[in-house]
Amino acid sequence: MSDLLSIGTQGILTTQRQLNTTGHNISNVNTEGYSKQSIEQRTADALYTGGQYLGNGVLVADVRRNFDKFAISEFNIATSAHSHAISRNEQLGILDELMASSGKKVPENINMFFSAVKAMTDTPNDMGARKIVLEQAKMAADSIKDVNSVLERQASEVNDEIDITVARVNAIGKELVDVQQAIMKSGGKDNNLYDRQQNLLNDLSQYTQITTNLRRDGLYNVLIGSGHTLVAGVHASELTTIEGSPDVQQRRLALVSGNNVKAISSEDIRGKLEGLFDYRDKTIGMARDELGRMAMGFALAMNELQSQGFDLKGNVGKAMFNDFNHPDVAKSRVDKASGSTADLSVYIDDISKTRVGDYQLKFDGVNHIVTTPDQKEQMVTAVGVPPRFVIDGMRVEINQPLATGERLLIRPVRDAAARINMIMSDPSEIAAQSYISSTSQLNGDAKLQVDTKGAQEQFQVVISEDGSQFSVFDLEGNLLQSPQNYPPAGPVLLNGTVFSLSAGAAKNDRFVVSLLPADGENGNLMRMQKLQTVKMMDNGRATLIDVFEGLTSNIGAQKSSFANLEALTRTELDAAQGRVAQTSGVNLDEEAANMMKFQQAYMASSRIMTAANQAFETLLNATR
Amino acid sequence: MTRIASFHNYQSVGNDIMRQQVKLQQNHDQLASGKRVRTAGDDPVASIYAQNLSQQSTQINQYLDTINLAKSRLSNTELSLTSGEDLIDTAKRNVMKMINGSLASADRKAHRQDLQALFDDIINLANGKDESGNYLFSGTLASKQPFFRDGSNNVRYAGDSFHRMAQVAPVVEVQTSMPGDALFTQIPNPYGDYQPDYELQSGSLLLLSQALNSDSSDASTYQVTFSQNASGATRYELLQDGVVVDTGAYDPKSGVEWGSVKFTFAGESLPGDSITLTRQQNFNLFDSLKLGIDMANESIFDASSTGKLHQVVEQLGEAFKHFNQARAEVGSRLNTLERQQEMHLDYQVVVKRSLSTVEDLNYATAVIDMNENMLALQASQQAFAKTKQLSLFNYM
Repeated sequence: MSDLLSIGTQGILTTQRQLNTTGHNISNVNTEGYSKQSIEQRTADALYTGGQYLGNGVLVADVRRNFDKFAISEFNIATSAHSHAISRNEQLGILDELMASSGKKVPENINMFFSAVKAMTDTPNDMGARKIVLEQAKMAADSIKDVNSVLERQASEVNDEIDITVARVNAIGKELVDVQQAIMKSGGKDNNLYDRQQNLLNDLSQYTQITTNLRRDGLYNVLIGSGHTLVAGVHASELTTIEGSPDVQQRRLALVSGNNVKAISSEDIRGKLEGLFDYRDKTIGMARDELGRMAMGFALAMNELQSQGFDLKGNVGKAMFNDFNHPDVAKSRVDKASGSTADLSVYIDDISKTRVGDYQLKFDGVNHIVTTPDQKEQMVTAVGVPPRFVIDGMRVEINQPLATGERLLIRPVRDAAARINMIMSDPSEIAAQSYISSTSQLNGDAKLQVDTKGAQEQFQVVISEDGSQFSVFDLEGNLLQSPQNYPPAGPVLLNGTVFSLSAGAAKNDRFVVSLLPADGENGNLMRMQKLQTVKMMDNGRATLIDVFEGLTSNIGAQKSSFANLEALTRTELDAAQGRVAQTSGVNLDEEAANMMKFQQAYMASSRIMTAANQAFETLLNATR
Repeated sequence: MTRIASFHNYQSVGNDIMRQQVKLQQNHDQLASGKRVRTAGDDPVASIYAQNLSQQSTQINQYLDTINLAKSRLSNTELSLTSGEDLIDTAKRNVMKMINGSLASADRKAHRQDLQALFDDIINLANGKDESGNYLFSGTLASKQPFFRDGSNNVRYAGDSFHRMAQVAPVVEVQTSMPGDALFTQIPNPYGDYQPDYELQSGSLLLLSQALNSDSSDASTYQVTFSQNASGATRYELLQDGVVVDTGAYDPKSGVEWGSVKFTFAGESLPGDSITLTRQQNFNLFDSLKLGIDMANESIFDASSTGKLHQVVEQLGEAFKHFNQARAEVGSRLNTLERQQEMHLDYQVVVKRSLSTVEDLNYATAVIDMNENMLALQASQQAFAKTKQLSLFNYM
């Protein structure tokens, strides 16, 4: 009878464990990352008696953790994709809002500036009108700087966030090592430790894409990104950031394993980390470039126009904004690795050809090779003293050569928005007067520039009827210089006054030049107000304001596509989560049913014990 | 069979409800702002249009502002021109009264004073200023007084010959100022290419009516002297720079024609009448007035000075026409401005309408949208609440 009793005991013990596990499941129904556990029970080894195998009850074979490795790895990938999309969508959302609120001030203020110029066109010698023009110019520059400083702040916040994220990844790596050590100690039996391990991996996959390899000892090797080992069993490497190259400021990711620091590309790291790097390097960089391009276009054009006119005192106009081709500024466009001896200056000659983005310049010992922002390689030849080459409207002068194999970055417009500054404070210095006077009849595009003001202060330059010659007259129509070939080979000297005349004049064009100060002349203001509508950017395809609008639309389009991506990846994540939950989740109704089932089994098993007891007692009584 | 995990079930239903709440929040935002496209991210394509349209609208407003300024400039000029016409017309009548032979010399003196007063008025007009203290007729030397007069009524122009422009549409520029030299000092000669200096016999009524020369490079001075031959026929003698070049019988119909020159005269000549013709393309209004004032001192019986006064009358008549033309020019510029203004206003309506279609909210659709979303939210909330009441534990 002892076997029946022991069968009963085993039954009770087994169902007790079943009930315990059911209780454990019910208690953990809301525990994040919990995997439902179940008891695997099997029949106890049979008893061989008298040539028969007799059933010998039940025993607990294993406590199983219900999980589906494929569902989980799918879930991890979906998590990375989703957190990448979230992070991009959030950041672009901030920029999108920025462009819709304070960003809007930029075109508004530029338009206000043109409005002030237009009012001043009506009364060019009115000091009040002049003051307003200056104030509006300052406002326009300031609003560009404001938006740029928000962008810069965002970039530095992202750097902080990268540091925090990296620290979090390292913390997870360390915890994983702890957990894996515990798993090793427990001999791989503790299911709750596996849950913790899985939880950490899920956390980690938010920050970067992970791949897990199961080792022979049952522990995981965890690879991040495209295969950099973060955790190998019970050893963790450390993620860190190092100086960028060639741009020192642009810190990069690196993996420290032992004494070895290896830079890793943030391109395929995925997850939130890639989102952060994308935002810093692509989105903010692009936005600052576009803003800078507009700022520089505006400043260069205004300064150029200032130089073509006379101010209220009759002097050639001074620059209104700081000089974007100052030697210091030209040098600041080059980013080189620390310790480089190369010295380059980059001047902007033609803003209409200027493009945003990074140009990489490489010297292979013989040739200079430029990789343009659209990743096209182009060989350039530097000639002259100092050696120089021209690409996309910029003139690159190599004052000190690059070392063989050296690479450096040229960013033509990155800092321009931060640099733009109004340097004019005296309203009378606005060059309203054009020395090409209003009675000129011009149908062509030729430009007449007075280089030196001499004794001849008023004259007319008339292009011949067939457009091949030009003559110079005084204002009364008396001939000063008889017909000569057009366009002239060099500057033309006329009684001490020197002017140059470019090609492109139409037949019968007449330039009426007056170098005498005239405070009611507004020809140069007419040119300034045309800046509002002239397509001076993007090879003559965009106005200044178009550049800004393009930036707004670009950010909007990116934001909208990442919002869609976020929705999409959320559905994918939900589905993946559903698949994981399908195996690992706890269903309360199921547990309730199990509970009833095991309660009954428990009662039945105890009944067996009573039966055994009764049988034993019967037997005892029989012998009494 | 699919297993439903209780925790995940709660979580995903929670997520669904949250998503519906986000949609509702968007509905609220749209309804509150009245804009369908609030940021570029809401609808990137629409935002490109919206930005372009609002830039257009801003530019149109600026053109309209410019037009208003230009209009007030031109109206100001028009007003001055109208007063100028009046003054010139009065001066002309005044000189005509001087010519009227029935007057005594004392009357001429009185008219002379009137004329002097008119001279003052006209020079004041010519030195007129606008509301910001800039001279109207000094060309582009806005703060320089354009006309200076010395003690003997000689007037010198100190402005320049240039003007100001205003841009009133992308390709339309309108002249908003008028240099004083063209208006006051470069009036076309009423006689054509020459101005006469008379040396007439007393009682002669001879006057120049036209003097033309088709050769613009001919700068010589001509003199026509009339005489009578024995038969009483009128003959003429033409001198070029003091040298006789032509002579013949005078036919009042055809006048004197020689080479490229053609002079015609009016009135009866007396033998010995002589007219010297000096080349002059344009005349100066102030010179003409000065001449009138100077000649008023001469005797009413002096035929030469009466001839001069006739010249003044002709010139003032021409000056009146000249001002009239200038006023017509200003008027046509004002018309251009009006037309541009109307075009801008029409275009503004179109732009505003398009802008509204692109970025404004259609409230009907938005409200229907919101109701749909509310219904969906309510349904899923209720369904969730109901199904979650069901649990096997209720029966234990």
